[in-house]
Amino acid sequence: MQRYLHFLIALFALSSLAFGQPNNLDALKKEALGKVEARQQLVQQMVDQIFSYGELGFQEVETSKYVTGILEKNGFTLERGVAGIPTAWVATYGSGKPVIGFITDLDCIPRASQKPGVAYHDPMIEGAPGHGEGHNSGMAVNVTAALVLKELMQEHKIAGTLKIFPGVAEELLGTKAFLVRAGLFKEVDVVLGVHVSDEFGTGYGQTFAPQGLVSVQYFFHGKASHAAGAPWDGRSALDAVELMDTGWNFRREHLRLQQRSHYVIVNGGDQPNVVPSEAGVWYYFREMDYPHIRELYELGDTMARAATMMTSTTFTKKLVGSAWPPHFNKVVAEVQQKNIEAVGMPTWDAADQTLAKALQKELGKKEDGLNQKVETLKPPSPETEPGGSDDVGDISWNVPMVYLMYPETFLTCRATVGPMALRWPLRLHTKARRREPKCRP
Amino acid sequence: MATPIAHKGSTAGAKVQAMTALDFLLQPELVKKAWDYFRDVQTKEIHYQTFLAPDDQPAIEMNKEKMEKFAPQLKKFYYDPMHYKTYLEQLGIQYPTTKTVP
Repeated sequence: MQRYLHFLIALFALSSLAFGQPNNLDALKKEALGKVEARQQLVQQMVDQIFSYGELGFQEVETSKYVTGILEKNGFTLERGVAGIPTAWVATYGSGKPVIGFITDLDCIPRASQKPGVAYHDPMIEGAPGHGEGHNSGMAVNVTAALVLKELMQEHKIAGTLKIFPGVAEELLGTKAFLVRAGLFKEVDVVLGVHVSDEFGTGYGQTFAPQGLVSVQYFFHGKASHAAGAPWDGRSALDAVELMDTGWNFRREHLRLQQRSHYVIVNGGDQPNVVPSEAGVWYYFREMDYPHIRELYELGDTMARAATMMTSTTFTKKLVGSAWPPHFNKVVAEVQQKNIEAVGMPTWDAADQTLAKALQKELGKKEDGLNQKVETLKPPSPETEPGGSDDVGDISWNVPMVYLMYPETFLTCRATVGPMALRWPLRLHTKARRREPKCRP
Repeated sequence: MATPIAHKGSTAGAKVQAMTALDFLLQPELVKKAWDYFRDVQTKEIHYQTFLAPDDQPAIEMNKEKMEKFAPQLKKFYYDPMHYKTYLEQLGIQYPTTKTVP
């Protein structure tokens, strides 16, 4: 009996040595699931609250106040106004290694105001911004996870640091390069980002928003004069804009097929009888890697310079945003994939499917409702895939990072997330494709 | 959106975030493996350099005018969780609202 008992003790000791960590990990994960379930009301409140704020990039004042308030109340240390961005912040809990970073966007889209749960175009406020892309839900994901983790770390004395970051002005690709430049990711070991999707999945390599970009505004400065009385005294800044655009459009034929470039005229002058002394144009230069994006950007500068020579004007420029093409970490993605499969797709009820199908019908899409299954691990995108950019790319080249796509909508990007598509009915006729990048700026 | 779809999807997302963070908090060798991939595969030949010129600053003035115009109107519709169980309830929207009864 004694010998048998010794044997049992030895066996137990061995098994806990060999399997102690995973068993402990499995138990902790189970506990985490329960703690998230217990916070469903917090998730609902955060999703709804941030949706109601409907704030555009760089102006996420109420949103940031609300989110940092919750984190602070729960014992996170806040550093506000980081990297020279008033609405950016970092929330930290814990100490030591590893340092796990969380990031997600919180800004919305111009003119995307829409009543939630309504399957046709019905703005809450005509012309107002709104969360057409679903950036209102990411903070509910990350903050809820962070509060659960903090509790587990306290209860089980787990070492490590949690850092929560906001994706300020993601729709403008406006901040991540600055967060990186400020050194905010220097001590971070892994970054877990999340973004809304119609899918539940993750991927590795250059995917989801496979193109990088530089977003830059060119301002031309000329000389005003009366357009009928003394046009010879004027130098038109608008002429420079038009010549730059014409030059670019001719050059377009001789650029790589992978490039995407587009512009809008942000200032075309005041009224026709005044030769415009000031005019401006805003360009996006997109390509698949740093050298090609840099090349497009320099070509843009050349076009602007050439336009000033033709018009005897001058130009200045303002960089609005920039983004490396993201590269997501294969090791982290494989770990995350297993967790996605363990959690599984939420159970959608009849009302959810009715809304999804009604909106798909409204948009002339296949009425197949919400996805029912999680995705398999997504490999890198082919170079020819339709484009889009996300400034988390800059983070992904400084620290191992993944992007979790969590299900929040029922339309792929080309069909475009609800109200965005409702704004642009032309898009109804583009054919929906599977495996296309999400709705990225 | 602020719908039950978003609430369910975000809850599922939070679960995965918490589980994945636990994987890396409790298994230091996984952090090492992630960095091995980062160093030996991802950045073996490609090295990060910023697009920013030294004097480039965040475009923090963007959208200011638009928000100044709309924020007072939006404020009337801010969600009040003390008085309403959901935002849909506050707005008095029947979920889902479709053009035709299915």
